[in-house]
Amino acid sequence: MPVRSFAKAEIVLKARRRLEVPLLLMVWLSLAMFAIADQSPTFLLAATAVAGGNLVAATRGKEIFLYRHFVNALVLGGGLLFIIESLNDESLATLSAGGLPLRAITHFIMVIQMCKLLERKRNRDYSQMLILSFLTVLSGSLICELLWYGLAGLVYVALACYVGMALTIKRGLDRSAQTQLINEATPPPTDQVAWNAIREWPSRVLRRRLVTTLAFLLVCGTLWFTAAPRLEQVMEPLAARGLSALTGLGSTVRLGDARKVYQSNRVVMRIGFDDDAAYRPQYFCAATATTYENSGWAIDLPAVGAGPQSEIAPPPDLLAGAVRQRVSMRPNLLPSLPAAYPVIGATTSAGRTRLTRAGTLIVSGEIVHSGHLTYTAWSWSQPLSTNQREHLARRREQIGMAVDLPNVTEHLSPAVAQLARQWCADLLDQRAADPTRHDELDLAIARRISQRLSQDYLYTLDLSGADPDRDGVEDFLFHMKRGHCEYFASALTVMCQALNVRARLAMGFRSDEIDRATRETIVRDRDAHAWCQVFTPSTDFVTVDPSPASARESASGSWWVRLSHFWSRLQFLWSEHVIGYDALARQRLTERLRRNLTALVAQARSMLADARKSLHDLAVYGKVDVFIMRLMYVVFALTGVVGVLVLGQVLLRRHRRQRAYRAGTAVPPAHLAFMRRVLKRLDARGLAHLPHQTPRERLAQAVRRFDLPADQVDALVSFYYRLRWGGLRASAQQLAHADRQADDLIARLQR
Amino acid sequence: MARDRTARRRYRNGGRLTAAGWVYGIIWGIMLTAAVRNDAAVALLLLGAMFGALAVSAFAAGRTVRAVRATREAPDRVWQGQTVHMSYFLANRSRWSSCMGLTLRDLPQKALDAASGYCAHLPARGQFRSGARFVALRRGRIRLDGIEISTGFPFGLIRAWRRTLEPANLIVWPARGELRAELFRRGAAEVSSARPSPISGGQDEFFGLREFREDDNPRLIHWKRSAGRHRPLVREMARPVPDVLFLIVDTAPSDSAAADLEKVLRLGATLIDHAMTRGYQVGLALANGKGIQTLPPATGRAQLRDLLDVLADIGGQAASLAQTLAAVRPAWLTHAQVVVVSAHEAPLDPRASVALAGRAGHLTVIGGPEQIDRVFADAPLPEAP
Repeated sequence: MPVRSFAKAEIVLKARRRLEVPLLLMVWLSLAMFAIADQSPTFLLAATAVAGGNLVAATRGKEIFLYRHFVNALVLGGGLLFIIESLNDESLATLSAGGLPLRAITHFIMVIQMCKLLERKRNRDYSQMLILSFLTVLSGSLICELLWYGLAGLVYVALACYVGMALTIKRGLDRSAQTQLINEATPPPTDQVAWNAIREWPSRVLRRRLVTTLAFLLVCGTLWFTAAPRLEQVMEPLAARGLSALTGLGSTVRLGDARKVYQSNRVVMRIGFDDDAAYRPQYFCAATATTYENSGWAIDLPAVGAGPQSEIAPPPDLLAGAVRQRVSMRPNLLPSLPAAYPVIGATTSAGRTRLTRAGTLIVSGEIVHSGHLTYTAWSWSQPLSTNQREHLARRREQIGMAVDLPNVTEHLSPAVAQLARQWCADLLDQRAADPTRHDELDLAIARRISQRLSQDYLYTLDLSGADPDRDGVEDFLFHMKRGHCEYFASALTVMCQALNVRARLAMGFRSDEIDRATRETIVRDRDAHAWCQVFTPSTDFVTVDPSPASARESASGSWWVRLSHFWSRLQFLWSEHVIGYDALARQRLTERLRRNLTALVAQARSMLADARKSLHDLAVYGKVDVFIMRLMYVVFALTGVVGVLVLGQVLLRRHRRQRAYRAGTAVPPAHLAFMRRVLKRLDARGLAHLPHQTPRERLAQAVRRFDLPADQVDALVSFYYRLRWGGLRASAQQLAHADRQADDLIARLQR
Repeated sequence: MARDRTARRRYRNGGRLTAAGWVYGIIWGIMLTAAVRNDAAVALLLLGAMFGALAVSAFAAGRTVRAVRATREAPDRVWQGQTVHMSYFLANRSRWSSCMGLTLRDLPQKALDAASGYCAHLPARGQFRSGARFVALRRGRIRLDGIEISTGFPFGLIRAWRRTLEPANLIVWPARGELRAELFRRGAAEVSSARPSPISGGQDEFFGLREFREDDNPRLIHWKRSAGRHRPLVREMARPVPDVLFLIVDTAPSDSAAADLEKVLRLGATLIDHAMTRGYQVGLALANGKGIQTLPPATGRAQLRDLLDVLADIGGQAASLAQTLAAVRPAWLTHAQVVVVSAHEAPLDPRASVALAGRAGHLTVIGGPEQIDRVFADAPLPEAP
């Protein structure tokens, strides 16, 4: 691989290395961010190798590069990769959704960036790399919204700002170095350009400017973020977005994955009830699962158009006592239409609503929606009346739904069944003794297990301790002893089934958050939940929720654990306030700001009125009231603070000045007084001081005009220059001599 | 009124998006659409910061150009076709913030090709002298009217500029070329009023040999010629009176192109420059739009400036060569080398030529393109881009 040293212009003008090092770091960071977000270690390794090699070379004042045809071949290879990647299923799916194959495009951009790093770089290449890295980071932000990406983005912005500033200066210098007049055969010498354009690379100023710029960008970013338009119409989620990870509601439930679950604050549903509805359901079931195998539940959620389903025609007589739910929902939950159990009717303009064999609601046919989907569902409140239970039983017969126990013995761990029997030994004995109380005791068994689970086990979203090789329920019950709602609900369901209680896992949302303005129930991503439904003929399906009411996690432990918890908290805050910031949150924020502003204005008005009255009393009656006293305190305090600050500043400056005098980096003003006196005398003689004149030029003018001795003036000016800028440490004799010379000149000027 | 409007437009301050700024804006728009459609929070934050960068660019660039005061420091007389170095004196009026990435240039002139000045960093309350250079493409007077200070700092997305009035006059002398033939007859016997000089060296010239006298400097003995003689011979040196060149330039209109007149002027300027450099007293007579101008022979920088200024200012309808000759005082021509330069073939009739030769110490007539080319190699002049 060819290596060349930096040219003289690149060294003398000092810009190349100062630009390249942060630029390479910036490019590497952008590539690494996307590679990590995209989970593609190949790109990460390649980017690290290419950027690292360049970085080592740049710090040594060299440039490594490939010949152009090699680079072109690499770009062609990248194009081929892009085509192949664009043709895979995932990208085609994205294309069909009306979007672009984002990953494939970004991979292509990354390949081009790496090729650019292997080229001989000019200013145009730097600009292109800056733009491409921007695109990479922005593309990554569309597929990853985690906290680390936000923090890395902040570092990237800082680097990009520095690179942008350094590149702007470098381009100006290069233009100066390359400009050639039409009568010139070659550009001017580099040293000449350096002298004419830049004396010293302004690193310190750039760093200071970077800090202020970053602060401004941060404020701008926050303001923009809070005020940016947020459409109601939402695209289908991108495949890599990981909404299932955010919501916890996926197409399958699998226990034992060692991962953390991050919950977003994003609103996914808004549910309105009739104003006179006395009952507001909190559980909205989207899917159910009956069969547990190999740590997973197969969800009874057939694809649209497949499997036997039943159209719903709500019977008018039964609708009278039902709770009506007007739901507005994001389409990422389709085809499920979450609703409170039991659903007895539903309508939507988006398609045809149907009931699955599991009794949940789906929409079928060609689904029409513009960003979000609205539907109306009717559900009965619990407990159900006899008529209602009979209607549900008839309906189950119509759609062929059997509420039977699955064959659990094959996959069930004996230890789990043993534990369940241990917890409910007395109830099992009673059930065996009295078959007439079977339904009642089944419910009691389920509630007993639920109670034990919520008492003895901890709720957590951190499943990093899970062992994927063990059965999920067994791992939860006997090893981890902590987990989230899926673990609790799975354990309860499996243990109930082990004790011949007909139970199934239900998934959906649980929310009791009510928007006061619209009286609607707000359902967010973080409200995704799993619980258990226990069936008895006398009660139909009854909700039993074993999850503890709140997360109780231990905060004790080593500094690493505390740090980990702090990080988790940061992530939660990030999810809640940044990722979950939506139109509703903005509306609330606006409302709060308006309220606070109004209160502030009212308070200010009141204070002004008080002030007017107090000042009037002070002026007319000489009365000093509380307001005047407070005002005096404030004025005194402010004066004191300002005085301390000014004094501190003065002392600091004095200290710095003295230090500089001692170090010889500055000259005491008294040493330069001789020149000030001469120049002042010239002012008095009418030799106007032009702003662009140096002392030497001004005194040369004085020599011509007032016939001063040129040698003496020249010696005095030279001494002044060496003293002022030449680092000369003058002795007392030299200073005295300069004073005498200056006095002599002043005397000549006075004649 | 229209002229006022044009002038106002010329001195209008402003700013615009650069090419990089347009690209940046387009990317920003596209990504904003994607971010809003996907409700991507991190992307919206980044896009907000990008918008902030645009705002910072506009604010910082505008503030920078408003804070800087610039003064041009350029010579008032330059040679045509020769690089002239000048400088812009910059002063930052801001008390707190420094200015960076400043580009300085004179407002575009057709007659000039200029390289702009650049200042990478101007500290708060600081001063800087930024070097620049230009080349004048045609002779004559050029009015420099304004300076433009511009910057794209910090991000090069927006370029702001401020134009200030800084009027100055620039006189461009005709370009210098090379003389192919020696036209000056310095030290010639017929023009030298030679007399013995006790001093040798310097500008003294050899006058002759004579026998050695008692008080002669032995260093002056000519040993080669003294060989074989009883008494040695010494060199006798002479200090010639200052040489005088009187240049008569025929600027009368002719059928030939204006380029020939320009060449004549360049030859004249070259002769003047060469003669002045050699210590000649130089006089000039020519006709221009203002009438016939004659400058008596003299030496010194002021004379050189006046002579070349006259050559630079030629324009308009000119009188004939005979009228020009009539305006020249005969005393100026006595003992002078008279050089007549004209674009015409045979510019002097024989009688006038004889009369002029009788008055002058030596007469040289260079008439027509062929003769001019024989004695003068024109400077390679750049053409306006």
